[in-house]
Amino acid sequence: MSIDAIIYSTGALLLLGIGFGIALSISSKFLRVEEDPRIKKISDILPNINCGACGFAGCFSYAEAIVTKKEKINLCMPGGEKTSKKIADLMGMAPDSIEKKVAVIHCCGGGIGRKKYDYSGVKDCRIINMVAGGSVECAYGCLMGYACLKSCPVHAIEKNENRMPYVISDKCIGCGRCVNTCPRNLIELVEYVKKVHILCSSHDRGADVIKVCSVGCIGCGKCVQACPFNAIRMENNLAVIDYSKCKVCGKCVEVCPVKVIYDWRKNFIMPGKQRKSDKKNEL
Amino acid sequence: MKAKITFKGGIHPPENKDLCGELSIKDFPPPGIAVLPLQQSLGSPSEPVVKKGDKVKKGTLIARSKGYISANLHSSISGEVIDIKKAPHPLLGEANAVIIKSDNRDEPEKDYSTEDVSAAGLSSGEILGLIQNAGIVGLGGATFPAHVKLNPPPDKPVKTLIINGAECEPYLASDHSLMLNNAEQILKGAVMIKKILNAEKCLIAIEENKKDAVSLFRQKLNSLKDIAGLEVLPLNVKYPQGAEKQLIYTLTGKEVPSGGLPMDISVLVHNIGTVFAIYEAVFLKKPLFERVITVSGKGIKNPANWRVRIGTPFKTLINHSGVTDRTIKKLIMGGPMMGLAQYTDEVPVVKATSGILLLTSEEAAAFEHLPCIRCGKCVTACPMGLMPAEISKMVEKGRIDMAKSIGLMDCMECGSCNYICPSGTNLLQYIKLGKYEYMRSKNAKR
Repeated sequence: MSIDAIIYSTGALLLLGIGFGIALSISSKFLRVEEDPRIKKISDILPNINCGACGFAGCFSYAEAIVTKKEKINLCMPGGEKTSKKIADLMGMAPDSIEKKVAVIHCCGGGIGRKKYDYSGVKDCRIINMVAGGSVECAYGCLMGYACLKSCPVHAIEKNENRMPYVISDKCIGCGRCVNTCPRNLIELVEYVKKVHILCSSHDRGADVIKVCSVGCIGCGKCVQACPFNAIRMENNLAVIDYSKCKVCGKCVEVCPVKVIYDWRKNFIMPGKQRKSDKKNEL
Repeated sequence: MKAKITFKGGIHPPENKDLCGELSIKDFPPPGIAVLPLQQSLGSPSEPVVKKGDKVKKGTLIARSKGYISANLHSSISGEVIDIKKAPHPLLGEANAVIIKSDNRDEPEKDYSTEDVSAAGLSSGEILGLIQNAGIVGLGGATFPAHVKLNPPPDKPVKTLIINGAECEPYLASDHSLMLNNAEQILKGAVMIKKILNAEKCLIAIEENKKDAVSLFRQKLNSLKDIAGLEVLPLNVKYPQGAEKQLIYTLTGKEVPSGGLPMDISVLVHNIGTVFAIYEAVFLKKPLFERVITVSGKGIKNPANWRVRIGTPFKTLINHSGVTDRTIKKLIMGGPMMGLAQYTDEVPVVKATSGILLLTSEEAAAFEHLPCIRCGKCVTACPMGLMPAEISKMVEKGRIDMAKSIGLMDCMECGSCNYICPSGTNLLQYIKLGKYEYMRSKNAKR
């Protein structure tokens, strides 16, 4: 190979490079699109974990929507009041109030409930739910496949000693991913300050609940009578707290005979004892 | 003539069809209690027309179809309706069912044994009416109502009718025994369907491992005169040869478009069992209240093919056939490849049941799930030409959109990828999850 070939090829590339460089610098001057600098600033204020709680694809598209489409500024759950205030200062708007919400799993017995069959396969509750309607006998309870745990972007869901998933309220950012993941719709977003929850979702009659689970709501209605604010109602054999009326007094916790109402100011991790008769092997 | 080409991919699982031994069909005695789930076809469940305490006979209509895609349901024994309540269902887990207690008389609603020769002269509308009244659904397992399938829209005429006698699932021999015992009736049914559809030809496809059925059908075709356009074609032995799309490709060389139906390329496929049921409905005026199933597996002492009443609990059948003393691992409704594992033996036989298998631990070994080694065997085995490993990985990571773009929804869940995988990964379960998630997000958007 002669030296000429090297000179010519290098020269040609150099010329091309110079040509494109000039073209690009000219076009960047003339074809420039002005972007609102506030978008970048708001995007920096937002937590940038792209959880999707606001309903947009990510933090940047929410920032864009705030500036261009005048979207509400109180949609960022993880950021909370602080973020909302910062954005309000930047946009010259009045700050909107934001209620911190956290996820609550309305079941405390999935593993305590009896097994219908031995499941072998992919450990994901959405799949287990497709196999003959779930592997636990309770038709409403947690299947212990931990799809919620895997979906959580901030690792706020953990397992307790009975392998039952629970949400750590202080870590939870209220993005709602787990709510959409749960195949049995056990998870609900509740205001952070409401610390008393009924951890059961079974709509079965009391007698049927006792057969399949030792910590299930039997629909006795004692909590309904005990509540001084009329915040608890019976819905199809299940006690349900109306969180807008609840004043977190904790009276219902004391009267519940099956201990499915929990006051998370007192004991955070859910207890629950495994009965020896709960294990059932068939086929 | 022999079908020359075959489809791409497929697997060769051990057949185990000889477990049943002789291929005669034995009549199973009517059960003491019949559990008849209201949902036995695709579409909406039927509506009960009987109430608690009503007396019914064999063949009495007990639930009427609701909506267009739905099917009638008939009592399979004579006796009294004792309840309409939730009961175990082999496909749905639990569903509403009519429960009938037998009076041990087994009285039929009318005589179902004499053949009505004049039926051959009926118009297609009348025949469709008879089929609809008899509550016939696709007995291959999909349970699509037959009267809907046989009534294609006028802009999509059916030119080729395929009668599916491939029975590619291991263990099952119910279609085979039906072909050997009722060849003439099946041919009459096929002629009837061909007449309704105005089809040009009718191909009867049988896998080569059933040589006796092939020769019997050929012999019958030669002896019967007025049957132009009927042809028997032996197929290569391969799983899933009996799958609708693979069967059509093998016989006609045409591919069903993605997301389309066979009628888009002027083809219709019916299972042998369905054709026989249609024969019974038209010529004997007999509703669908019994079907032929295989009770087999190494856990069963006397495997056999039974003509059994719909609604017979699995328990009764298994106890009657006897259980061996080997460790039982799994109870499956259907074939071992696509069948559904059951958690209880209380479930009844439904129209979709083609077999009951009691598998021992040596047959249904549980694998340790190891990571994918990217060998590509699943890609070679997939009869739909998909990449199961890729799809399942995308679903695992929550990227349903990407999985959809490489054919998630084209999977027909035959399980070939799972069978062939050297790592024992549950590819099919992830694909099923992907389909479920896709349908859920699609419904949420609406």
